[in-house]
Amino acid sequence: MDISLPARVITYLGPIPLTDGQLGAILVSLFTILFFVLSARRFSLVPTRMQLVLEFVHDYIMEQLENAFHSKKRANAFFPLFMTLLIFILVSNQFALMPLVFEIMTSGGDVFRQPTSDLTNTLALSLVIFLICHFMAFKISPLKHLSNFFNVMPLLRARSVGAVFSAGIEFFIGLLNIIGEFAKIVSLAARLFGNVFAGNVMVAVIMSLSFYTQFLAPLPFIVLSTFSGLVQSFVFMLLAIQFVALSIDGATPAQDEQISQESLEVGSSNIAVGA
Amino acid sequence: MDIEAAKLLAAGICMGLGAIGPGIGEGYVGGKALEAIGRNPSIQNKIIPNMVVAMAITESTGIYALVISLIILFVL
Repeated sequence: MDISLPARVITYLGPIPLTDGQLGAILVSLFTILFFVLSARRFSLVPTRMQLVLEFVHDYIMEQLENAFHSKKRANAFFPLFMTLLIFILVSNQFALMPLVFEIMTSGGDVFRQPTSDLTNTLALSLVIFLICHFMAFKISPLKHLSNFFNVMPLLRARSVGAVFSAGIEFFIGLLNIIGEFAKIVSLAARLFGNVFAGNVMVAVIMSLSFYTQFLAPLPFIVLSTFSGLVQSFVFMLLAIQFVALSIDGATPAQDEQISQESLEVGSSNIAVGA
Repeated sequence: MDIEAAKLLAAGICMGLGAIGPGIGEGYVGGKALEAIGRNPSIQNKIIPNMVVAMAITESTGIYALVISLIILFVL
């Protein structure tokens, strides 16, 4: 495994360059599609082992979605997206453990590369989340959604100097939210990329230290990077759910009291359970 | 100073200073979560996912430093 930050162009499909990261992503997609088609053919009332695992993952994601969206219908509608995200990132983070795939070479380097250790792939994933956030919010209420960023209503309603001042601050905070939206893209993408790439770099550095550190010494670091890949795939999905839920909540016209009351009830039941 | 040496120094300083904040923050998050679990062990399953998400957010500045030092090392 060689260390290079930009993806390496393998071939050209017409005018489009095909990089090693994209080839890796295609391989991971094919692998997961094949796996799920094969395992979904034999679903039955009495579950097989694989079905049990998949149902466990399904229940976990549905629980997270229902907690975030407060609606079973919307959770059902969003479920396929987040399941796909989780499975794709999970498989591609553990892709480095796959035997023989990284032995395929052309002149100059490997043909395949871990999809998540290529910044363009993780940027694409986080752009998808960003677009879905804003598309859903616009679909629910365009004006309410825009007023989160260009908050002119308090400025129009202001009747005194103090009110104008605080309305100006609110308007400025709205402008800062625009920067925050773009920071979301960068932070989602850079977090996943940084963790996976740093794991690869760490293993490569340990292996290239000396002749004796090539065989057993990198093992704990491989375990560490595998574990952090596992955690990061769940973190990416959970953060994506939170971002989508946040922007939908921001565009939904005032039902805040009901939601806060619900969360209060949940909190008090927690306390009751704890006591 | 040689430009290569400056690059190496910059990457090292960037990563070293950038790791201080996330280190303090993650320790705080993990410590508080353990405190909460110690106080009420039955809600461990609810605290652990929240802790992991909070840790990931805390970590993000460290990741930015890492990305920047990688860019300094391998791209510039």
